[in-house]
Amino acid sequence: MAAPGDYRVDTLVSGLTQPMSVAFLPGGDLLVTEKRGALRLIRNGRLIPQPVAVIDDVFDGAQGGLTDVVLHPKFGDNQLVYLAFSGGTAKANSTRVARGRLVDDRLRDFEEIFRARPEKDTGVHFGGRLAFRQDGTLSVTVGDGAQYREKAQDLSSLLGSVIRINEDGSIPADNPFVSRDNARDAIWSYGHRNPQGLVVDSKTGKVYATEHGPRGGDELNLIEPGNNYGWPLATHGVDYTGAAITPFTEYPGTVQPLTHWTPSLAPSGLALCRRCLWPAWEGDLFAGMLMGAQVQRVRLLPTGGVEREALFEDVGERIRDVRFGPDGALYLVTDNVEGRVLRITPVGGQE
Amino acid sequence: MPSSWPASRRAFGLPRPVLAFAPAVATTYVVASLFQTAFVLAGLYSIGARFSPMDVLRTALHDLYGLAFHGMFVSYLLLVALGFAVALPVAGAIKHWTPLKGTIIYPLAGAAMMGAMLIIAKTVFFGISLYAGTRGMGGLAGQMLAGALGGFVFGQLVKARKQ
Repeated sequence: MAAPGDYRVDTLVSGLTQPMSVAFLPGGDLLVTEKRGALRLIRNGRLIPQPVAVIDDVFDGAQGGLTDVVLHPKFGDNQLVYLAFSGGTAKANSTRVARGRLVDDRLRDFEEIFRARPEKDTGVHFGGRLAFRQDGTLSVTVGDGAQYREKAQDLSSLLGSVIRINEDGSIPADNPFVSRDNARDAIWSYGHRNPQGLVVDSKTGKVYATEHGPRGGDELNLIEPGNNYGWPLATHGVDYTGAAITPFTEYPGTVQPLTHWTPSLAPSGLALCRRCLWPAWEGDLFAGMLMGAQVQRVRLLPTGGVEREALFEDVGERIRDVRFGPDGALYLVTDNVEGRVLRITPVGGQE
Repeated sequence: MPSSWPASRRAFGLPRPVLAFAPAVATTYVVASLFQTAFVLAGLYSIGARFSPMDVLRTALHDLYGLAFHGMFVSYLLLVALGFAVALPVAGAIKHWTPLKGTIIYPLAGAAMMGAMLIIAKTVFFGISLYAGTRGMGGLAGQMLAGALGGFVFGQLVKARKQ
């Protein structure tokens, strides 16, 4: 267990309005998304007052918002920034992906490249995380909309899935359900509830996702093509009302999580340590927890089990996003009306 | 307890409507819980899940206990009791001032109470039916039927004791 004295927490920026995600620009600047739709720039440790962009189409009711920002793998050449957000209205909304070029601290040529179908009339369970794979395709998490949980098992619906698209929003020809009738071509995996953490291992190319369970049953999954991750046929959680969601914690044809948190800690952003400032944590996953107000370090053991550890509980805030920066430090985005970006470094580390 | 209740309307030292309250709540809660289980399992069945009789029984018993004692926000049993605590006196007052019979007014009150409670809860929780078994019209109707049955039991017990 890491004691609080083993690391140092610096507030990089405070005063953000419900920040949701952070991305690192090549020159040391950071982009931060705010729930209501603003994309903000942090330069030299200072929040630039003028937003880089304000996405008008963001539906920020309940759990909606501008949920993620990532850079194109060749950002240095094309300046492309990708955003995930919930768009639409309270009566008809969906998880969406858009991109634009970052030029002179402004987002230009903004275009929506993907929209999850069908639209829904609930303000929750959007998913809304992005990650570029090593093959250049983009993965996007889409939640089940809560009211429509059975749709997570319906391949004609994108609700409750992880999708895979090309950088322009088109569908890769080798997606697992491209040739199946009545299935959405974009689906990469299905049977998800509300996946709000997504990361690609830069060493192995493996994709991991965390998702909120109901009451218990938060999951960490290894995302592989065509897999059914079980929701709502099987879960380790129960409904908030105390009722059963299903009689099953396992069901034939569905994949069990690598680990699950029961009772729930509510996992949001997910990061993976590769050459980070903590050599002892090489290859470990770091899941930010909202309800748990901590970061869970997860080590996947060769035996198939996991080792878990609660970190940074002394920060005392809900953690919305977790990223390793290019400097190897761990950056946390806190989930508050006045949120912060924190930079965590080991005391006496290798900086 | 008010001593103004006539002896013909008291039992075990309590006004009869008070004694009829618990069976009404219990009837509604049990039926509502069973409907919740049935509609959730039907949803799973529609996506391919198959159950043994033991799975169904285990889930029904889980819900009977869980909805009463394991809710994150509030016990469904308590909600039903609070709902009846409002709805039945109102129904009694309406019965007193109108020619409607108890066999009509109490079931109507129970059904209206359950329907209103669930619709309000859905509005408060961002358009989500908190009780998953009430997401469709059939599920909501099942809960209202449970309320009507509780109201019916109340009306019968009050009437029987008066007789």
